[in-house]
Amino acid sequence: MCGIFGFIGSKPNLSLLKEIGELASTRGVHGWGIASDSRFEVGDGKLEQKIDILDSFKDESWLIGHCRLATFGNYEGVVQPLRSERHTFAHNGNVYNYKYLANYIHYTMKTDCDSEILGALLDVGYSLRKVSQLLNQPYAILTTTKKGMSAIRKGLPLFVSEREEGTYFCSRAFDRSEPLKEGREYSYK
Amino acid sequence: MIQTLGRKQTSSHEDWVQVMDNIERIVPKRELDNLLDRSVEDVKKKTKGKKTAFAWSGGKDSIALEGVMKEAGVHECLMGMSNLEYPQFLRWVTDYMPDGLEVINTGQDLKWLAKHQDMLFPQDSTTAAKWFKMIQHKAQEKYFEKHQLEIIILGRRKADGNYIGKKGENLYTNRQGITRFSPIADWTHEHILAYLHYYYENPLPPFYSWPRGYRCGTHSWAARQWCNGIMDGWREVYTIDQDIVFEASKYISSAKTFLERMR
Repeated sequence: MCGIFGFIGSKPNLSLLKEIGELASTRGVHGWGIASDSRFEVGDGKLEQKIDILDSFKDESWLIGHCRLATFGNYEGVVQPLRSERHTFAHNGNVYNYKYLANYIHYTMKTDCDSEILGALLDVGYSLRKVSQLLNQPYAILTTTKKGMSAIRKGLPLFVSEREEGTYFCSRAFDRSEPLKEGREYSYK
Repeated sequence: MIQTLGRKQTSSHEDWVQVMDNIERIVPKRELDNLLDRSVEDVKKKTKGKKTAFAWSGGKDSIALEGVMKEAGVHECLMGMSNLEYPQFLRWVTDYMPDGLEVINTGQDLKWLAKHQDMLFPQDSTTAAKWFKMIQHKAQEKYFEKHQLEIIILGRRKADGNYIGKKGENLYTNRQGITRFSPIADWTHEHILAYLHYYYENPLPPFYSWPRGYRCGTHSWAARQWCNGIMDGWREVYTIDQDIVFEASKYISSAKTFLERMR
């Protein structure tokens, strides 16, 4: 179980960004990662305790954050968001058939993180909607695209709020946010 | 309803499976629906205008409680956990947890367990209660304070021998000022199984397909109860997830000994 959050637009409202970062961290307590065009920050523990790191993203036009709940023992595993060749993305959920999918597209996994396969599928041209249909499990995914950012969810939460300065995403409900409709791909610039 | 299961401690996993197989005969859907409606009304009445959340552990009682909460409009909830959980359970939680769930990690891990080996595989109810206090109670207290709740709702039931309040009341306030409310206190084990049967559409948590699954319920692997000693505890955990025992053997000598004997 993990929490994801993000922003795309002109310049984020830092106070709202911190609010959604803190909310996402209630779902993932072992580690966190935040990626933008030019930055990639990771840390251990709850993002809530290092929330001011988001100040350094104040000039970014997009960012994706992920708060991780490790399943066992070694908490130093791969921290999302993941970067594939052409995408930066965060995934909430499990990909039980990742080996099959990797084999299907002749892709060699580079990490032990099952979500890595999603980036590989997007890179070879699968749409986000198509990728989600291959999962057969609940999911919420937030990814960069050529033109901006896309989001999709089914069975797991992902809320969105479109504001004047841009669009915010979070796994938990926040002020003036609405849940994305299940199974539908949404794109934002 | 035909009551067939006694206290969890005195019935076997097989008894539970047998009841589940015959649940439509034991608890007709109409009976469960009436109970569900009464519980929802009770929640609405007692929590009206109050800041409320519920505790969720991913077990069968929590799933039934989650159903009552959904109907009653209570969405915020918490799960207490340590770093000694079964990975398979956490993967299930990832897929099927309530949307409003907040995780409170109380932090016990293998290093901690190595220093507190008397806590491993509890052989008595006092040690089992310590685990509960250390994880669930601690997490509930933290969440209660953080969110300034007025009432925390629990899945405690009389059939499990849980304390729910004086004179059969299902609401009480403890010395620390925490008000606990148990709306499914009167549900029998059979009612819980009936809820899973009639209403729960997701796969059940993995615990229930493991050895002594219904008897042990949700638990951190180190808090697994009613094993016949430490070695038997490691044997059971090994049958569930070998990796846990291999990792534990780096910190705990009895796990290492168990693996050596396996060779």
